[in-house]
Amino acid sequence: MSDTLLEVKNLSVSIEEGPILHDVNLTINKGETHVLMGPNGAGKSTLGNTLMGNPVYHVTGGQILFNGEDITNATVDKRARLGMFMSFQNPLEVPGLSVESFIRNAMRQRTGKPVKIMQFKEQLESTMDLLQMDASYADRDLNVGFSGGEKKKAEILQMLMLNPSFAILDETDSGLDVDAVRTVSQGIEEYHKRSDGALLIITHSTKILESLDVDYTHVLVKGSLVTTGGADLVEKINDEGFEKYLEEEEKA
Amino acid sequence: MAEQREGMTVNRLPSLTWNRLGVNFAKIFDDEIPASDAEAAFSARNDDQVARGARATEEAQTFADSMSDGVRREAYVAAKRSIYQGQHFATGLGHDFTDYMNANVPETYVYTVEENDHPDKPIVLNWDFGKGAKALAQQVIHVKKNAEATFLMTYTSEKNAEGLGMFETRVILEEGATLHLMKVNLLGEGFVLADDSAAVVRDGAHFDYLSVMLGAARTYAGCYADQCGKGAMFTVDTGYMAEKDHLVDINYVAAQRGKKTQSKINVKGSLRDTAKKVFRGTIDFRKGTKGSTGDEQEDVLLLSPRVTNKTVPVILTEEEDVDGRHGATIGNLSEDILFYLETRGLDADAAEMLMTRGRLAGVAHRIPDQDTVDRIDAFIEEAFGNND
Repeated sequence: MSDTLLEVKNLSVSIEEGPILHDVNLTINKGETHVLMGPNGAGKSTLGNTLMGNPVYHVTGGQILFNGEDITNATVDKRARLGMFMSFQNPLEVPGLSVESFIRNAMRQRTGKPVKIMQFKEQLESTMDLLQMDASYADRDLNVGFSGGEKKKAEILQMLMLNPSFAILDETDSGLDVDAVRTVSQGIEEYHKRSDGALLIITHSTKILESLDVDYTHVLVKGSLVTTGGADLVEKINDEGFEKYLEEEEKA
Repeated sequence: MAEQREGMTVNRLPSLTWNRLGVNFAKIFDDEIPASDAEAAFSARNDDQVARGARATEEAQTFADSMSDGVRREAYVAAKRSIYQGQHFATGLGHDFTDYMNANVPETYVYTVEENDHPDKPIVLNWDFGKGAKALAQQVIHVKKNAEATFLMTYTSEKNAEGLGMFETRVILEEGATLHLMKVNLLGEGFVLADDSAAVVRDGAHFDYLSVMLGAARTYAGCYADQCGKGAMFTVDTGYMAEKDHLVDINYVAAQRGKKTQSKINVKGSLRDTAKKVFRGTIDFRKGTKGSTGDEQEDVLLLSPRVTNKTVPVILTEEEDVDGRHGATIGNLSEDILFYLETRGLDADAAEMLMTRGRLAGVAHRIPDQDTVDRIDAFIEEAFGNND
């Protein structure tokens, strides 16, 4: 059986205002951790959103395969049920829907099976404990009145409960203080431990990567993947920035 | 010339506004009332905890009227407001409906909760309309001093059934008494339901009214609390869901007359397809109701651009030393939120169902009868799962 989980082939993406991604190729195997870096406006979130099927972004060329299945035109909920997940850069507030009810229903939708309530509550409680979330958040409306850090923790909570085989973390560490980054990192480690799931981490900073074993690092500049390396590429970019890649892209 | 349609006027707004807004009252037209000869099957649980018995409607009406000082009070208001039509024991749906019920319901059930009594189980009254039937029923619930009880009235039928339900519940709350009156509409798509409630709330008494309206093609619900006692309290928790071309028409009135009375009205619901809702909520601070507070809040989820959502919050006051508030939250399921929910595996129907159920959960889960709570959940799920 193939280890390939996600294959992006020659993917080009546009929005109404014009093209954003050009001919992107990316392969992610089961259990791997990939990091996607790039300057502001490079198209990192666009790639994450397109993989997840956000209708705002239009695929103008190429293919997305997940577990060998062509999902280029699949609905968002279908992708999620196949095992994909995205942690949002700015998680939305959803009044009238409690955290607990949302996660329980999402679990049921993904599996198609009823969720055993006691087992679910225990799992939710222990996962919230791991993320240092107060138990009262389970009854609160999803993200409503949550601080930035609490919203990001709620995203990781959902990831751990839904247990996807592939998770895109879009700037999950942005706007967090050191303690919150540490807690979120613990959550990501736990995700690896529980499911050996694959990750695509979109980030500006490297704090969140300190406790993770990164397999590949990709650099996206002006909508094109300009280079791919190992974990050491993160350090290199940290020291040198993106200027070199920007210049090369301009020459090209 | 077009023929005049006959019908009764219900849910009259205590203070009229522009007619063109179409909210001053509702009409139940005779030709909209489904014909059905079969009678709904009535059953009761835990009703042996209280004294009960059928009385001639005229006798029950006289008894209820004697427990209020309605004639004097409503004549006073009617003299001041030309549009107002005085009603002895004022109800939400109004006098046309009461007259109709008095003329068509020969017997009224009178339930009495004795002084200081606290029945520990809810008294559950169910009308099962099965494949289609009608029911016209009146109740008087008399809760004596310092007693407390819960009455749960449920209306059920098969999904595609049609029929007619007309209910009128009058409540007398003596000093320090509390009644939790809960009404749940789980009727099929072809029903007309008119569900009227009214209470006289004396010193330190609390009328706690809860209503869940999920079924029926046309639902008319009214509730009027005459808070005549000092410190009388009136609380409302309502959750509704309307789909297709269904109508939910609501009229709640808190007539605050005693000193230091409180009213709190919360209405939550969702509308989709071409459904229509009118909510009239009136906090009426009458002369002498010093130190009273009133608050009405509404939260509506609009799931289609074709729905009609009308809200009429009214605060009337003849006193200065009062605090009246109202607020409304009207929102839709934006594409951003839908995308967010879909990334967790929910399709659009499931997302809308969850948002609707979330809004109603706070109301439904107050019902102390798990079977009814489960049926509410199942009803909502079915409505979104089988929208064919």
